[in-house]
Amino acid sequence: MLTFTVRRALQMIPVAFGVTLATFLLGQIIPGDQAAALLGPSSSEQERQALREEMGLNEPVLTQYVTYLGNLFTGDLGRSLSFGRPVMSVLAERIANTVLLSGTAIVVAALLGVAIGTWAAMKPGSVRDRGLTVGVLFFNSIPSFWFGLVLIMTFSLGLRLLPATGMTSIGGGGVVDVVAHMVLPVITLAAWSLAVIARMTRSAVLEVIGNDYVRTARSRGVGEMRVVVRHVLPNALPSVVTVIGLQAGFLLSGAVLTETVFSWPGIGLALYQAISTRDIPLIQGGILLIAIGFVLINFLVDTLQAYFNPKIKLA
Amino acid sequence: MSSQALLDVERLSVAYPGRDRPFRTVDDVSFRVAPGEALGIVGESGCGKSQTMLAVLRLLPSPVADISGAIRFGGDDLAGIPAKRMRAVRGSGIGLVSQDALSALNPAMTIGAQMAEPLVRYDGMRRRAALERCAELLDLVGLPGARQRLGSYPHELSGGMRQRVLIAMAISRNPKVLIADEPTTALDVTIQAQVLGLIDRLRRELGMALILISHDLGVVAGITDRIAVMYAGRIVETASTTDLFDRPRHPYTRALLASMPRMDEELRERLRPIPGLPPDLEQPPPGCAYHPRCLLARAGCEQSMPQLVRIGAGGAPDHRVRCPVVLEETP
Repeated sequence: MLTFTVRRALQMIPVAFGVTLATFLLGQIIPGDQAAALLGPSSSEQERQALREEMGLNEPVLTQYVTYLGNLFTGDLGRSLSFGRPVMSVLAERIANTVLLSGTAIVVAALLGVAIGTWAAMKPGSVRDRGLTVGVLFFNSIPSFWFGLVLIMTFSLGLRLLPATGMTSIGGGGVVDVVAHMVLPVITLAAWSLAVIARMTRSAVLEVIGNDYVRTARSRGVGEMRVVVRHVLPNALPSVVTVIGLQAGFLLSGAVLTETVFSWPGIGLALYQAISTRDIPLIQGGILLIAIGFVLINFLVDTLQAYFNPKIKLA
Repeated sequence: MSSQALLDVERLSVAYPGRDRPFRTVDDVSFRVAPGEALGIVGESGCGKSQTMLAVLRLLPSPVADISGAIRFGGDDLAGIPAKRMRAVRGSGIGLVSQDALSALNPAMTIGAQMAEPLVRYDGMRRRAALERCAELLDLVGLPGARQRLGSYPHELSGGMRQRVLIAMAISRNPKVLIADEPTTALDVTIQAQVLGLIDRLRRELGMALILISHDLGVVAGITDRIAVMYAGRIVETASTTDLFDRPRHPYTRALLASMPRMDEELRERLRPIPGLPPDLEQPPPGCAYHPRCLLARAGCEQSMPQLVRIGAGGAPDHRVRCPVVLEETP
């Protein structure tokens, strides 16, 4: 298990390099002159040329990449044009908010999704099973920003139960206030993934529950609940964990829309603002962060897979 | 048949909803097993022998399969008791050994963990004591290096070893009846003989009753007291093992014996396969289900399903056959 984990961790290094290359090239491909954007339309060509020189934009691309990597290792992601601060500090103050929101959403989606999917699979063809199919179709068909707006209209503007935007109320703070602000965005973020996870769990459980070893456990008097928890789920979860991992990565990027709709001060909202102001260093930094998050989640998924499946562990 | 039957199955039927109308995989099956007795159930694949046993343990998909009849065991009718009571019968009253030992063991659990599970959960044993008992059981079934095997995963064992583990698991809660469903089908011939010998030995040592299911008369011949032959969901003949081999009556039983290679006789003639295929249970032939393949079929066989009746004077006691044609033969 340890060897597997270490080997899998080492595999992340080349992937991480690929990610930095991709985000770096992104900055090269996006049209527009960074110096002009920074200095404004009234700047002279000489001033722009001087700034390009200073920023190293006249160097060969390879040299620029090496510089970019070097800066990365010292934690320097460049300066955000719109915030006028280092990208690192903009992202640093927001990452916790995004992790809080997306993390809560994926935990809610995973726990509820696995529970609902298993519950439906235990009685295939029943009312609850067909209800699940309809629910999955519904939540996978509606766009998340629309769903978010509907939630705001219903629960904030209509029923006045929950706050609509931001992370805290004015003059508020405290755990209760933050949790109240989280409810709607978490529901918005989790709904889609929950549906996918529930459907995947259902089919995985159905596949496993017909196995001979499940019958063996039953034939020895093991109770149905225990059969499901101890014999069915450990064999069904590996495929579900893969889906949960993919969904977690998805949520990270899906947070852009949801954070914007709910004005949640996270990476997603910053990215949205960066895109609308052509703030290339911030776009690069935000995407790099999300991509690295994706790589880490995949690592976690593979490690969990090995934990569930002894055959991988030994391989 | 003794009156103090341990397991008494009476008129058991299992029906499934078919495409057009319900069909039966088990039809009007009755048998009794006395304490310590060994019963063999023989028939081609799809004749309903495994379905019968799964119905006894109520392990068939319950809302789909419709079970009728009585399954009397230890003063209860298993067909009617609540699920919780049924669970208490499984494993500690009736144990099951299924055929493919690789798929019958949980690939994600160690041998020790899955063996000990019900002992710890339901028999109130401490984990260490349960594992100790599991090691003894693995010793009993002749698994080499029993103690070390507790930490192994199923895929690390050979087919014969897995089958031994499965047998050890089935007897771990001291069942009074052991059902072995084709326990040797997935094994090499040499291992087959070892495993059969093991089952026979355990039955004698532990005083269990045994129901051995096989498609192979040769497998059940050596270690059973009685045999029931099944065809298309019904018992067509039942007799003591010696009687069945010496005086088979039903044309199907005779055909099965004729299609079996004998080591104790010189091979004078070719083995005779049974012509045709077993019937489609969703659309069984009218009358006697065997008549399209039967060498003795005559007009009237397609009219009605014959009853399973005791052979009259001259026949051995408790020899029953479901064929009016052979009943008219002079014994």
